[in-house]
Amino acid sequence: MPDIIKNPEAGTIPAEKHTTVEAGETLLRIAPVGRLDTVTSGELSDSLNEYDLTARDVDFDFAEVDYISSAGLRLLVYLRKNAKAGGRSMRLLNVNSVVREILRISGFEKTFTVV
Amino acid sequence: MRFGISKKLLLLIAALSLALIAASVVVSSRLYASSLKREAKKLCEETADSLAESITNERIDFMNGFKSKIEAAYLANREELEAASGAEFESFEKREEFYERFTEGIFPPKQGLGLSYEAATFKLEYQNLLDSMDMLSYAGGLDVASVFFYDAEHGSIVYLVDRQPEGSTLYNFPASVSKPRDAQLKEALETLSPTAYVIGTKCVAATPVDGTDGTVFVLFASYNAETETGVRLFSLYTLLMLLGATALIGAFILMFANRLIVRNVRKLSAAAEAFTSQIDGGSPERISAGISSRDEIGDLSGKFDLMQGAILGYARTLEEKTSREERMKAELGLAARIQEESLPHGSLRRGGAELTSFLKPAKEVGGDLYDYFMLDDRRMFFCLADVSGKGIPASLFMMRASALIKSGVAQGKPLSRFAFDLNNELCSGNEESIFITAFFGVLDTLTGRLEFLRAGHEEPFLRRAGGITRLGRESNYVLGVFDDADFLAEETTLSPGDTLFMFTDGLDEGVDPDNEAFGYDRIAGVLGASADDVNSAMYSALVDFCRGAEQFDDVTMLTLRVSGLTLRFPDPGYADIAKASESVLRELSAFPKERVSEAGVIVDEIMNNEITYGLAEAEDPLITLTLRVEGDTAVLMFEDNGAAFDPLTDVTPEALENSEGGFGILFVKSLSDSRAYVREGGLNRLTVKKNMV
Repeated sequence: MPDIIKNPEAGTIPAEKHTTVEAGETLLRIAPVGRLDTVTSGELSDSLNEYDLTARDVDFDFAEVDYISSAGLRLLVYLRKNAKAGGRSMRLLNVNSVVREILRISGFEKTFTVV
Repeated sequence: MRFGISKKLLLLIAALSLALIAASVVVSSRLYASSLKREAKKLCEETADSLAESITNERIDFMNGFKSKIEAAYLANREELEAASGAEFESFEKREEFYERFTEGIFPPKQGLGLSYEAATFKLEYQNLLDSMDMLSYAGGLDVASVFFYDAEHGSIVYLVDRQPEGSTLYNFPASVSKPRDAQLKEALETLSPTAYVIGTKCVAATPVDGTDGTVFVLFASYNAETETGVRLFSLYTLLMLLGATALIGAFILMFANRLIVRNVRKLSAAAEAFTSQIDGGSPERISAGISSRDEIGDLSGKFDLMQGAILGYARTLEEKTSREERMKAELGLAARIQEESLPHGSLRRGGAELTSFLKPAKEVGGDLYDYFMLDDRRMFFCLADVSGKGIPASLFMMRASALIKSGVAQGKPLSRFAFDLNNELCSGNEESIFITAFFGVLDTLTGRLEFLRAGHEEPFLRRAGGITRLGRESNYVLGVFDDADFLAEETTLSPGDTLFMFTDGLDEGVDPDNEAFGYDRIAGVLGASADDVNSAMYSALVDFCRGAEQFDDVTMLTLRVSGLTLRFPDPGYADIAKASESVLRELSAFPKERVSEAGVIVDEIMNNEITYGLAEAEDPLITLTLRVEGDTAVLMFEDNGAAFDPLTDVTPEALENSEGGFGILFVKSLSDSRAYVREGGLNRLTVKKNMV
């Protein structure tokens, strides 16, 4: 049964779309909406703590993400570190040009699996 | 109701005639009546004299004998007779019965035969006397004839013979007594002299028979009431005849007046109407009334012709004048267009500054003036001026001022010097003492620094985050009046989000139908409420306010907006970063989405840095973020009151340990085009510029 988490700080992202986290048997699918910045990354990080982040593969979907800051990048690094510790893989989906640029500047472009 | 001349004349004539006729009838009837009375008196007198004479000459003995008998009866029964005088009797017969008692034996019995000679003689004489009296009365038309004697001692008239008109009950029986009622009669009786007099309608004449003491009197009287009626009837007939005659004469006069005056006046009236109606029509001509009479009406007709000529002349002059005015108006319209074209149109944008103008002239050509242009890449010049007076003179002076301003600005002098020279130029040859109030400004679009100079002009309104204020403390002279006057410029700095609203007095002095002015409070109100197009909002507010009242003065407005925003975050936390990002993203939303997102990353990283490191130890921590758009470049300025810290070069031990701190600065450097840090006034100021295209 997939869990749907509603972002508690609805004001920080458009009300009609919400960050979704679907935890399946083998896959944790995270699809944030809006900005992945200092505030929203912290909130998302907190909400992910209830899952065993080492137990599933992670798909991080950027389809609804406007941009990502270094705080968001930190979250990606954290997720990837956990997945790797459990022998799982992590994929970045639907990466837009802004996110790609951030990844490029930070040098993480090659570290992450970008689909 | 119309009351024509004929009616007025008729009334006047009728009134005058009535008055004249009444007066003449009154006078003539008086004259007539008095002459009638004179005649009646004379007649009475002559009749009395005749009877007295005939008695004296023919039957004096009989009269004396008859008198002495009656006198004896009177003297014997005086008191009884006097008491009976004026007493009421049941009937004439009773009265007759009463008096016959006293004269019993004096008159022969009425019935029976065999009269004595004496009695027969008496009867004959008595009858003759009656006949004489009746005859004379009849001949003279008199009413009463009497023969009596007078008892002077008791003042009593004692009747001997009396003749009254037929049917009268006033008959005085022989020996009956009465008192003389009229003073004239009493005097005549006492002095034994004849008298004749008129009292009212009564005419009386009494004459003694022989003039001796104790004589009898004869009296005739007429009560000419009928004569009075006759006079009245005569007066009435006269009146009616005169009225008829007057009506006839009036009708003739009216006909004549109609022919002479009214008909001609109507002709004049018709001509005037025809003339007036064709004046409205178009090409008017003289219209003759066709009156040839050589009188006042003829004169009037002549004057009317003269007047028509004058009116036609005036109409022609007016037509020429109107066409001249039309030409003038067309030329003025052309001048207004040239003038309008000489003013800049559309808005002027440079960096984050945008200048928009609005001009609504009150007359064909206005005396308001504005101008704006770039002095170089950064500096924007603008001015707003109001020339005193309106119309062509103001406009010509304004054109001159406009040219002088353009050439003066081109010389690159400081504003105060520029105003000094401009003032002197405008003063020279300004015999009309036309003056100009003006506001000049030079804005550095990069820094927001504004140098301005106010020459007698209204202080502009400045709207900024803290509220609305008026700009300009220095009040310089107006331009064009005082030679070599000094002008002081001032300085201020406009921040992103500031709006400078300049206007001429046509705005604040615009009045509604009750003569209330639009005023500064309403300007401030509209300025505070309208976000985008301040000029249009202000003008439509003015139009609504004036409710159709005429616009007396040019309405000119200049609005300078410095786009961008200023955000202040006292005691900032991470949640403020989201607020700041959202405001910046909204402000820049016109640019491509990717560039906007990159600007968002910059805001996020720098504010994160400030909050996490720079302000950690600060008292009353404060972050100020200003955003200004200069063309395609977003200029973001971050200020905080934390410890001196240049994130571009200073790398703290924590930042080194914490990898994403380093990433933040790396992102800022990579995503922006230039960065500058200064420590100034206890503040860290980091300015980041990013090309948004």
